[in-house]
Amino acid sequence: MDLNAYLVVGGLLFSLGVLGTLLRRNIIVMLISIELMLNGANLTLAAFSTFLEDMAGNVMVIFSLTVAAAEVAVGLAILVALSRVFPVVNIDQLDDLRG
Amino acid sequence: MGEVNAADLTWILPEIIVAGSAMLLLLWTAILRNDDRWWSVSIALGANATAGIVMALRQPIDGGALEIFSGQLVIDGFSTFFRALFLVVGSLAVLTVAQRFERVPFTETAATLQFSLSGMLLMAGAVDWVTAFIALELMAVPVYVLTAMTRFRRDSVEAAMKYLVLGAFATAVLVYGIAWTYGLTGTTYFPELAERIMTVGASPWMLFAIGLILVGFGFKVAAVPFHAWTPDAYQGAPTPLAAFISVGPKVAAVALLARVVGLGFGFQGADTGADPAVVLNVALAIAIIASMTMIVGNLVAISQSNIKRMLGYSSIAHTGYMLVGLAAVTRVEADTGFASFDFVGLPSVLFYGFVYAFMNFGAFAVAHVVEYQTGSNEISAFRGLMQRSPLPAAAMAVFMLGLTGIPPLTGFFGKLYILQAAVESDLGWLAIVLVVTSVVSAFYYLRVIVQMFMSDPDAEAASDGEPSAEVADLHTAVITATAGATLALGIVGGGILAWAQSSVATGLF
Repeated sequence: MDLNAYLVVGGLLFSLGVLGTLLRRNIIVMLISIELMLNGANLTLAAFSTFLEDMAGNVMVIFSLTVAAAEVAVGLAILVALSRVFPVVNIDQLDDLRG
Repeated sequence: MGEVNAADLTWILPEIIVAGSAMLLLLWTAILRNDDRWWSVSIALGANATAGIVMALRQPIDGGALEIFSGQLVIDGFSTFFRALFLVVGSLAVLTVAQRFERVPFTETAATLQFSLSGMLLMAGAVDWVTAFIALELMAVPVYVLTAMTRFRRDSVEAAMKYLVLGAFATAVLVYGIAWTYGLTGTTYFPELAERIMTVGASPWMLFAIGLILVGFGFKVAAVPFHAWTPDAYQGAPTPLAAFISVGPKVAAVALLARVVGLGFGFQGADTGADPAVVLNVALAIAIIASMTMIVGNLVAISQSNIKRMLGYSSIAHTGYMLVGLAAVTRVEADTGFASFDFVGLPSVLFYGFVYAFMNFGAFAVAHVVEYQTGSNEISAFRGLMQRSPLPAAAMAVFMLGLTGIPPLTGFFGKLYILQAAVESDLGWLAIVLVVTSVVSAFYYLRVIVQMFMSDPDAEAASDGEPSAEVADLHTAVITATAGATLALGIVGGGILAWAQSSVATGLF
């Protein structure tokens, strides 16, 4: 298999996720971008795991997917609570806390 | 690597008991539909006490390190030290929340605290990326929920949202770093990592992978420049939970980082060897981050008027002090032919984590009492606290002096041991930054004491109605316990340091 191709795609996904999280201000888009970063990392892990013929990386991917799902579930729950007290989705408009 | 067998489960009974109590609490509130605090407190504290007793009884017979689950976890002095500390911190958190926390379902809060605690307990023993990652997230995800517990308050959900976005970002960076480290070394197992890194050498890709891991941990321990979430999270979170959040997750992340650099990157281990380029570069990176963290944390804390925000920046500064200890590593001459290192700062980090936990927890507990009495989190709300309720005021003075590092309180010895380690490993400049920023920190800590002791409740405050002088029983207990620990550890601090040293010596490093 061509390891480099997988690593490039993984790196691109991760970089797009980083850019999306840092540049976009919509909370939902930021959560999506974080998922993109995690998927880039997972693809890299799975590619290395297959290349090395070692199961540890694939095991890590499964746990990482599960954890990401849990994290997003909590994130969306907080977003629902947020939308009840702040009618906005732009993170810059969350400015009660500063200093 | 060892065999996996069912007997391994008995070694993680403390974690099983704590996580089990969390599930029991959730079922309790779902099935019985009641929110009886005293039952919930009893279940949580009973589980923590049982876990502590089981842990004390179930120790490796030879007192050394025992690897379980094929080397996923280790039971050793290091993990015992931190598990004991976390069980105490978790119990204090349950007690602090149990009183005066209306409009929030208490049983669910206690369950979430117990879930987070079980993750912290696992972090203390994790020696493989897979376990370390799961434990880290098991600790972190409930903490986001705890921050948002008062979901009807704007600041609480805002803090939780910011905390979650940055925390998840850090997690993703960490996983990408783990992926690359794994790809380059072919192992997720920390004891093999240092050796494999030596074989691979300090290639640019290796340093890139290690850099990503350090950035991920930088967010988790709240080091500058990855600290932006900290003051918001502590200010927005309900005060009794901020006490837990400012202590538990931070010390647990420092403990895991110590294991990663000590075991995985080869900071410790006179006979295993490590790549000098990797060790020295990582130590330098940690030293630079530590200096920035101490400077920014202490300087920004001065201008804060909100006590929780001030304690947030102060806790960033304390992360910096602990990172100084993590940067303190010396090269030793080994007869094996390759470079070896001695992690001289590690015992001082354990000691500092231990004393910091009590001081900072107590400070937030007093802030909670004042918040209840006056309805305000401003530092000016401490005005006249000494006349109003002397015990919390006296305890707050102990915490503030302890956090400043005034002898003979424990904070002083904590900083002293870290300074010694820094000087020993030729980090004189970092020691100077530590001393200077500690002096600066006296400015904002002493301001709180001045407010409590020297100012009389002024006419303006009186016109708003006299603040209540009431202190809840459980808060008295928590404040007395943490203040007592802060005072007592100054006297018996040598014993704790000896414990920290033997924990490192018998630990898997």
